[in-house]
Amino acid sequence: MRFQNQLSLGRVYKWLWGLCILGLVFTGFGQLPIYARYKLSTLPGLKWSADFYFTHALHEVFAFLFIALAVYAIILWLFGGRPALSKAGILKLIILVGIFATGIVRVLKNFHDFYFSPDTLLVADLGHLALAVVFLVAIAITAALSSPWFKKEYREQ
Amino acid sequence: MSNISRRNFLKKAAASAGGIALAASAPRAVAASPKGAELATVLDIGRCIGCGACVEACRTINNFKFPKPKKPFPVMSPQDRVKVEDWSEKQNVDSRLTPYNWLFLQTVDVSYKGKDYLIHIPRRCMHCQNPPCANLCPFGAARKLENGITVIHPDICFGGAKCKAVCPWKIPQRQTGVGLYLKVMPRFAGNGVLFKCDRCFDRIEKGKLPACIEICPEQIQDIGPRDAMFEKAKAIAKEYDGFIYGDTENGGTNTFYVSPVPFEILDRALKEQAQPGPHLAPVENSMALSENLGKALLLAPLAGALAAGASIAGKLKNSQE
Ligand code: SF4
Ligand code: SF4
Ligand code: SF4
Repeated sequence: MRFQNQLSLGRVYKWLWGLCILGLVFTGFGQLPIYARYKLSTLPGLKWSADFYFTHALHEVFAFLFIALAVYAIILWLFGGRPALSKAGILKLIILVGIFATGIVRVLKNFHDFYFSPDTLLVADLGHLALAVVFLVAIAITAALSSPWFKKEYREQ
Repeated sequence: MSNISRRNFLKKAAASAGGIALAASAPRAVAASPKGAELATVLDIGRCIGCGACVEACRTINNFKFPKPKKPFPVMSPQDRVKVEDWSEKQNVDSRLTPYNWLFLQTVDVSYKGKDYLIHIPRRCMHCQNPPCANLCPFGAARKLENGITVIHPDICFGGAKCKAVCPWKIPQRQTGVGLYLKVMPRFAGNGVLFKCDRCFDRIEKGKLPACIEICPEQIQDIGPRDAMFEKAKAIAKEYDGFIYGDTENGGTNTFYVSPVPFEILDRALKEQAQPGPHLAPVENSMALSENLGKALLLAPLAGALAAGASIAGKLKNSQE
């Protein structure tokens, strides 16, 4: 079995993925106390952006979508000829894995019965934020250079 | 617990306590926290005489931790949205929480079942079991130690006061002009450091009692493992047919106030008698939604896998046709 091009995830998938990244970035930066300070929350309809509990919950909703979409892509990759990742693809994947791992720690620490040492959490908290910024830079560069996720020879269309 | 056994207990607690120091000697990275063994305090407010010795002791013992801001403060933008909070000229204020006063007394006049009471309530951080201040701090500055104490690391805190915004009792207090933000972009991000009761974690590490507990002439406070302290709180409550606050508040805290008067009455009196600071109203678990969504995240891979399965099945069907 071989799908048409490198990994045919479809247009809906691309939209959902874009929406998911946008949502995670917006609600993620909302965890820093900046939307109230920089008056974003004073704009009509955006009062909620300064509500930490609300943006935190939204972040977890987008994280659900993110994990589901990632698992979807991995399974389709496994059964779809396993096209080789490009260098840009590998880089983005590594960053995403880092964001995911630190994010999981941050989810678990909110559970009543989980305990992580303060230093572990310091690394997870700062790592999550730093990797998110690195990821944004990485998407900006790969978009500017229009580098695809997969090596060119696998593109059949 | 007698004083002697309490001291022994604290020595043991000290040995296992995760330090606040950044370079802490690699404490256990993750542990299923034995919540019942966390340190908790009981305050029998029916017996507090309002002498204020605890407030004074807290200020004296913790004086070396208080902020020493440099002036003039850097200008912060946008000026209409970010205000300087300066308590350094008002360090003597002891009638509310400030960066220089981590414990204060509320006093209310109340009647209950035909009896009049003058109740004094020592107020400071409740040391929540699942503290939103620490969970939601973006920088890992607000933190929970393994022994159940929550602290704010003064060298990491950026002063955004998110911990205060998410605290159900609005406990942490900000001082502008100190901390890490000064070294980064003081104009555009941060605004000092937040301060609050740290349960004298440094004294506890040395096997000593928190200053406020040690000094109290009426010995109205006790500290020890949460389970034991809760038993004690229930015993005191039973003695005078009283009430407990803090056991279930915000999903459970490591502070138990015991009062002969229901807390609804005390809470109403705090408002009516214009007492500043934290309330005594019931508090839902702030982290409940986050915990539930976190558990739902475990199902996300399944959702992705099901969607992928459906998609592959669809494609196979199409290619066969
Ligand atoms: S009372 Fe407020 S500051 Fe203290 S641990 Fe709870 S949330 Fe944090
Ligand atoms: S435990 Fe220590 S820091 Fe907290 S109120 Fe008592 S004396 Fe102050
Ligand atoms: S020292 Fe004891 S009796 Fe005096 S105000 Fe504090 S808690 Fe009450």
